[in-house]
Amino acid sequence: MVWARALIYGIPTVAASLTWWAARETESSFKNRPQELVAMLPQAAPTLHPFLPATEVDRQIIDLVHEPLIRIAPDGHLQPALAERWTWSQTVTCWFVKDEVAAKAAEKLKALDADLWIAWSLEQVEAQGSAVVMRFSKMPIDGPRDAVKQLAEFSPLPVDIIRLEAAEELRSYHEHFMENAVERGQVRRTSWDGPNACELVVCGDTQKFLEEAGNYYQAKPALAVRIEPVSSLPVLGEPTLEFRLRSQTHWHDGTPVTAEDVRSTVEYVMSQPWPVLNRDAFRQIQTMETPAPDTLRVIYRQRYGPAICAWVNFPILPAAWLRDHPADAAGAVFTSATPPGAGEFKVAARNNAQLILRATGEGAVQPRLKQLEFLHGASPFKTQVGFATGMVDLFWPENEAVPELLRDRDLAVRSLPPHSRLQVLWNLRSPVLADPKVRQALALATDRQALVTELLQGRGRVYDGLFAPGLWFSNPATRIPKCDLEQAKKLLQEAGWLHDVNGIARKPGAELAFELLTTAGNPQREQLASLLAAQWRRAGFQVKVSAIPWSELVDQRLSAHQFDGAILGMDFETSWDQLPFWHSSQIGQGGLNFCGLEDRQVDLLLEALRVEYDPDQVPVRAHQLEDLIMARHPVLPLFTDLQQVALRREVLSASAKRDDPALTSTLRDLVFPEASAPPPKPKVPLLVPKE
Amino acid sequence: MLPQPCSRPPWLALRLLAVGAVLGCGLLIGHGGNSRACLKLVAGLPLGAAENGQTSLAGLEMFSRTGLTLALVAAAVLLAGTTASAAVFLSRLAGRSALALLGWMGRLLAFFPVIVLAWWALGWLVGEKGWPIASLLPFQPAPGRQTWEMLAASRLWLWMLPLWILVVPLLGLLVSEFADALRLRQDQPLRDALRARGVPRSWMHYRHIVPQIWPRMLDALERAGLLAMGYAVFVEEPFELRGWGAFFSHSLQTPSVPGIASAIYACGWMAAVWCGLAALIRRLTLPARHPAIAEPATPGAAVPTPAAGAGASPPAGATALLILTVTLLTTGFRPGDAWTFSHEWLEPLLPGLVADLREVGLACALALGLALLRGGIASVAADAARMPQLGMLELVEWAPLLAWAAGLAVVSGTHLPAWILLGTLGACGGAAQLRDRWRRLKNHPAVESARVVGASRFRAWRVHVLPALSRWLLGWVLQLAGVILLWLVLVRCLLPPAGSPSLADAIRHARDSILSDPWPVLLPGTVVAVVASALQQIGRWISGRAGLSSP
Repeated sequence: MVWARALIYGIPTVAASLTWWAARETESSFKNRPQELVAMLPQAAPTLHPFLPATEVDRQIIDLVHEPLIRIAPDGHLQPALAERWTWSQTVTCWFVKDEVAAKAAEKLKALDADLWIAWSLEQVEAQGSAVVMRFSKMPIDGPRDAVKQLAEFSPLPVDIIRLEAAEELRSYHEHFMENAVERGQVRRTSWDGPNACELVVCGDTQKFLEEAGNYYQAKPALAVRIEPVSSLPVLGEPTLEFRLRSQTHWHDGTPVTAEDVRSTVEYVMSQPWPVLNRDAFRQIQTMETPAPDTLRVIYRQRYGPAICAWVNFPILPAAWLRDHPADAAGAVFTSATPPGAGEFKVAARNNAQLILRATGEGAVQPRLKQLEFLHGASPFKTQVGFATGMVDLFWPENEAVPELLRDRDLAVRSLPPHSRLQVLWNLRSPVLADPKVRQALALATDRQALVTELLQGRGRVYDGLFAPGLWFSNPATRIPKCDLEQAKKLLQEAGWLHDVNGIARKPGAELAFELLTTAGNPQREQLASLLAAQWRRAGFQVKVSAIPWSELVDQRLSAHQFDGAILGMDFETSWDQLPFWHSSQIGQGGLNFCGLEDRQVDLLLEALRVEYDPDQVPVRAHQLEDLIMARHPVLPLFTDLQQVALRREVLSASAKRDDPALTSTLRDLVFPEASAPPPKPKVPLLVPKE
Repeated sequence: MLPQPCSRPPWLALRLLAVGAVLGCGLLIGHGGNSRACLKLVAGLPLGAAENGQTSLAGLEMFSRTGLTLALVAAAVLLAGTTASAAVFLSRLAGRSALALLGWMGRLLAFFPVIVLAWWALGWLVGEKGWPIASLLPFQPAPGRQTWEMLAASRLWLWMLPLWILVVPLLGLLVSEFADALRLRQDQPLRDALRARGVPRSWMHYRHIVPQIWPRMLDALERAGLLAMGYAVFVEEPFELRGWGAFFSHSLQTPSVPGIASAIYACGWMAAVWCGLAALIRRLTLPARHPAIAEPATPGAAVPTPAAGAGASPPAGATALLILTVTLLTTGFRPGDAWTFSHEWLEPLLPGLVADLREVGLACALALGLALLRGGIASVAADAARMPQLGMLELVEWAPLLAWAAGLAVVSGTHLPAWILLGTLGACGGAAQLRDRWRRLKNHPAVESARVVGASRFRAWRVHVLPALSRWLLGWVLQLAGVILLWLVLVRCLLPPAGSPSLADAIRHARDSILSDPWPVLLPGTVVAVVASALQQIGRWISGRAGLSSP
């Protein structure tokens, strides 16, 4: 009887007590997670491909694990990361007919007044065989030009750049040619653009060299080698970028970070067809030298100021790991193995369900959070469950879900930095759109905020700049005025387009009609095209929307300038080089100046910006260029892409709790405390020498 | 809701296993499978991935998933059984009316759809209380922060929450059964005699009353376990437990015939193990030849029956139910932050309720027809040939019928509406009960007395048997209607939305926003519980008056 009673009353009591204890204990342990953050990834497990992140979230995770040489600071300026500092210098080489002449030329330069050396930023002059090598500590053109003028009496030999392109692998043939050619001594430099193409720096009797090379390669018709002189220069100028690495920096496996790691990483990436940002800038590299473990010297083929941008946010990996893990085009190596990084967080666990990052504690700035856990492959319902139970602190919602999320007072929604923009390119050679007033009228007739509301539920970002927003050289000022239909109609009238009773703009015998191209199979773009057409119709335009496949759009219509207007998305780059898109030399086949903008003033600015090395000078020129281009209306910028992140207010730092939808936030911003203002510099009293 | 305790067929465990295998193989063959696939199914080998990637339940996974679900069911039955015993034993102190009221409340609770309970609990605990559900989102704390309390609590909470949800309908069911059993065994002369000898009341209860009702309690626990296997599908699915129920639910929703067939076969295993365990407990705790474990009654043998009207609803229960029903249907309430009274919540549910009741009516008509046909044939054939009963009809009542019904309803799809399936399955149990009732009434002393005084066989049957049988049939149909309504809604929750309205649609709709507002999901559940228990209560009341008084 006692046992029966004990069972009947004891089991429910014990079960209820245990349930209550388990619930309370679990709740407190799940919610009380100091310095830990759990994020819910919207997609499958991140591949963690450092050079080709699949998503923006992937990129942010990689940014915590892998350290670049240079990164972009929150204020948009360049910030040292693995590199403690970097300096530009240039090496100018002149070749002469004989070694003695070169020696005399070097002597003459050495004998010059020291003030001239200082004025030219000349640091070193050295005779190397028949060449004189001059090293300049700064990048201005004047110094080398004046120095070379001093050598005119010794008749330096001109330098020719010759490009060889083959249908097949060229390297082995070229090496064979160089071993046996009579004129091989004329080849001073060889730089490869992949296995099938190279550029040679030839100095001497170029004609003879071309003849011999032509004869050699004609004997190999299968190669179909094309030999073309690219340019001829009086001297060879080679910009040099030198990085000094931070001391006492280690990989997560404990080995020190060296310049050799940086060199290996670049070679590893360039051996694969991965479309990394600013890849073209890496292709400009002539050689990389590592004179010391903490020093990397990168010598470029030609003057190219934005070359530094290729190193920004470019993750560096250990050379030993790269040797043991050969690269593959698909990047599968990063799925099967996780390379050690040098960032503030290391990968502690990675499986099919979660990814855990833990702080290494070795960085200069200690992160606020010590552990980041990423759960992936979860449904929106699970994300809601996670957030409601306090387990998930951060997730990346769909834009459609954001208005609902904003009602939750415990939750803050922030934007991620934009990575691309949508714009309408105008063909300036189109008969209808050739008049700038017509293009300006189109800009005035466009209600971009309405487009954002319609397409992005009101949480898009109207942007009209040429450069990525948030960088030190991008212009935050808005140039395109707000939608003004009356002004648009007035401009059309000034351009000779008068509106009929139906509101359609006409000229005698012509209607103001054009075709707007968009990408087929992209519903958002097609909807955008329809909305734009509807807006422009109100101003009197007749717009025919055509959706065509991407390849046809670019290869057949844009490249051949057979279009009126086209909606195009473009990724932002951390570079101030806009020459490929707007320079008149890029109008022809293969160029990216689809609009056909041909303006000498713009060309000069683009060229100047391309050889600008001083980051402080870049904004001035960039703003000038932007103003100049936008005044000609070759493009109608619309808005940037928008991804948002929802996060629990508790995990925000105290100073970051302002509620501003325009605020952008990345994992790095969240993990690290906001940079406090630098301490004021002590006022040093001016010491006057005592009499 | 549960079959008559006297109809337990022999070798139940083996029969359930065999029927599970036959059903699974039948499903495979019906969908293009061959004998090799059937052999693989029976051997527990994987059947290969279907086109949608869903695999069958086989090998170690079958063992682990069925083991988890069986453990969950066993724990739920144990917890529900002890809690129901405690509630019933305590309420007996307040008298027979209290027991009757408790039984009525139990039935109301038992008819509450378990899927509604599961989703509401999920919505309320997660959405309003913010309590974590580790099965939905596992969490790995940082090293050094893991304590044994955290690990133990996390594991315990993972299972305790689904366990308690599964306990709720079982508790209602067992409370109702135990209360009925206790009321029927309130032997006043025995009690007076014991009291006269100074035996304390608790001693009297635990030494004399409980042993008498223990066989019926054991039967109820066994049958509750079989029912809980069907309920496990609706509990494991929202909590994403890695048990048999979640797999079955996923197979049903995909839908994957190999998955469903293997799950039904695995369910046969679970049922066999469960019934084997029950048989073992029965052997250990009951005398060797107790009536409850005796061989099935042979035709003509006297079957112990409850006193006429003993199972009927007492006035307290009927009155309470009537008041509750009228209140719900006329005024309505809206639970939530503020309990507001309005009609608005009921109006959207009415089309679904009417449509479901129409199908329940069709199912009951089908069940009645089939039961009369099958039960009548069985009775007459058994009388004529004196053939032994194979117990096939009883087997349907003793099977994990809800799980089978869900599987068959999904596989049959649009070809066979769910109401036909449920009506046919209900008819099997009805036929068995009809046959028993027929035999019982035919051998009743009143009928024999009429024959002795010269009444013809037909007259004796018309005057004595027919009225009682008709009342019993009406009562049985009404009780069946309640069960079919509940099961129809549960099965529909697993099927893709149909064109016709249903209360299941309302549940599904409320489920979409369960985290932000968990309360609306309770409304269709309450309607189902009230209507089904009302039908059951009226049926019980009519059945209780279907006996013959002794001459």
